[in-house]
Amino acid sequence: MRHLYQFNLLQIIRDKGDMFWSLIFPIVMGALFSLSFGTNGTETMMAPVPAAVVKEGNAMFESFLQELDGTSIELQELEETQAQAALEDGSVEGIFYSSAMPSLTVNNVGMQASILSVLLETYVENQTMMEEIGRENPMKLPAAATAMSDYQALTGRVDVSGNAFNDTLSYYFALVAMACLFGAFMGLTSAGQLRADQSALASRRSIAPVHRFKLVFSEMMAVFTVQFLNICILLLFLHFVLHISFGEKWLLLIPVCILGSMAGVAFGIFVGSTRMKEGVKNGILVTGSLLMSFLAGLMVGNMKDIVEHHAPILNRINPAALIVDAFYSVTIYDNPARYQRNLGLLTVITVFLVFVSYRRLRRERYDSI
Amino acid sequence: MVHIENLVKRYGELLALDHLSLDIQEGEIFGLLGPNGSGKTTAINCLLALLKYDKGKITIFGQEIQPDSYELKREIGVVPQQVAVFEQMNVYENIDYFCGLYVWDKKERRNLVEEAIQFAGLEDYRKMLPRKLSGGLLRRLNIACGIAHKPKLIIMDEPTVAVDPQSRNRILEGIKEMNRQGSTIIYTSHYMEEVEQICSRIVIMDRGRSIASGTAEELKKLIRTGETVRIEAVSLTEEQIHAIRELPHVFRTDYEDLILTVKCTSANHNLIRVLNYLQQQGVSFGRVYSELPTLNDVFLEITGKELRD
Repeated sequence: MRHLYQFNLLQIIRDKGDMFWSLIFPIVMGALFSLSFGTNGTETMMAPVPAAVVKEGNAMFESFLQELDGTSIELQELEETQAQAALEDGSVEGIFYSSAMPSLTVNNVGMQASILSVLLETYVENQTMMEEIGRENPMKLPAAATAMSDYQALTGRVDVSGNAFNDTLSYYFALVAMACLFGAFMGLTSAGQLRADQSALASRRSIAPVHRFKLVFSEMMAVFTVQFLNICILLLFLHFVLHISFGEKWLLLIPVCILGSMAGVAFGIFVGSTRMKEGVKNGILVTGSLLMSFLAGLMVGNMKDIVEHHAPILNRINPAALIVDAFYSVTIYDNPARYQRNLGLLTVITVFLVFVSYRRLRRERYDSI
Repeated sequence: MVHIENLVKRYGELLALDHLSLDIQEGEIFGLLGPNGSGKTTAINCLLALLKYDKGKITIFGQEIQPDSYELKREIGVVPQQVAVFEQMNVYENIDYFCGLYVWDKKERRNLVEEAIQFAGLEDYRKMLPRKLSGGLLRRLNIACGIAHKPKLIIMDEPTVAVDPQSRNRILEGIKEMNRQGSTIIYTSHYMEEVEQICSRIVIMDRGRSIASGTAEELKKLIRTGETVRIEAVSLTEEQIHAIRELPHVFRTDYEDLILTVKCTSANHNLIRVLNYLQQQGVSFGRVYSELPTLNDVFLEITGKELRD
């Protein structure tokens, strides 16, 4: 197994074509992004997001919002009609309804609407705990609300560049997601070297006295390894050369990169394990990875939010969107639940792709060669 | 050593192997000769358990071969028709990789790889990538990758396609040497001269069937042609060609592009009789050739078409 793994690594690293797409191209794109956006002076202090609250009797939620007033949000207490009018004329970005089941109405999609949405999401996730504190120690409720959300993070204190939220970061996150998906090209090459009906090399390997699982597993592991290292190199380039900061919890990005790399490679192996023509497979990979990256915000910064508003399911099944969202969860939202959900979904997608690919690749006898 | 019984393989409507039966003995260089599309490679792929087949039985070393017959596969070396090596790995690494699929011990493998490099005459190219090698050297690398682990049974599927004469001779000598060292060899080709030169027994295939088998000499005795006379002759008339066909032991004549081809059964003085006739008729003639029958003649007589068709 070690012999196979070592030689597979060697062969993958020396494949200039695949290495270009999975390593050099994203680095060049990153450099071009940097030239276009600049890395200094583009940061803007996030002002508190203007929001209205329509009081409907949920004191705990209202208290939670009050705590955030002036830091994460700029809160106005309004009647429903006034709030609607304010939302229409754009003087507020969203309306919180403090009913027993708190809700939020927004007019647009974008970063500010996302922030309001995350606030509500966090409250709902922690509601039970808040209720308990409210019952047992109501005096500590405001402090608990502050500790739980600490939403200065969204604007001033704990964000990606130290003190300011950088609007262009979404492009870099989407770039990392694209780089992960471009591992699909290496996956495609590997799959071609495993199906005896697709290449003479695969045929030669298939007749060797090596268990099929060993052959396929060592190949997959080698590609995963190289792709993960490529992503690490890209992140190091973004951080040390382009001075993109990934925040204090950057270690949490490693599992995202591992799973992102695996998902990308698995996508390539999945397509490569089919019987389609080589050109068609390449077309699917190029189109698929670019489309997924586009939907995750590679070309239009708030595309992921637009998708979230109109077809949220796409953001749950698009590995690029999951990778970007996991980056947001760590560096901006500081939302562990959302981070875990993204990792969970990436795992499910990867396992599904690997499982189906292995079912196809483990085949040893063919109808025609 | 290898037994194939009533093998049938269909690709949809096309019958690729039509009840093919073969028996290959230990120590042989067994030739599978046939034109492109005759079923040689299909038979090899079935033999290696790569292809499903519709009917029949294949045993190697007395055991039925399955995709997971790893112990059996360990004793087999394959040189595929197409060069199948890693473009990104150099000569040494390629041989080491493929040898490593059969031999796990690193030290033992190192010796085997060195031997294979020497055997294939690749000593000066061990650090070179395949794309830098000539066609002949690439074929030699292809062979070295297939035989480095010293298998008992070596299957070579047209290993000399598109190879220069010098490399071809080296490859053929190498095959004979491997056989001398104890390997049984199955050699497929559509080059009859090669098969005749190295194979101890030959099966001629056409349309998925075995149409004749035996040693080269035995095969040649199956046909009427004992000698083929070719003469560069100017202006032969239909009557003269007809008269030549009537000469003793002549059974076929062709006259095309000023070349007269006369097929004779095995007999003495066939050439002299034809030349005497041309002299009597005052026909000018140039170059004269007399050829003993070839495997192409065997194929031609049995199937009515040339091996290279």
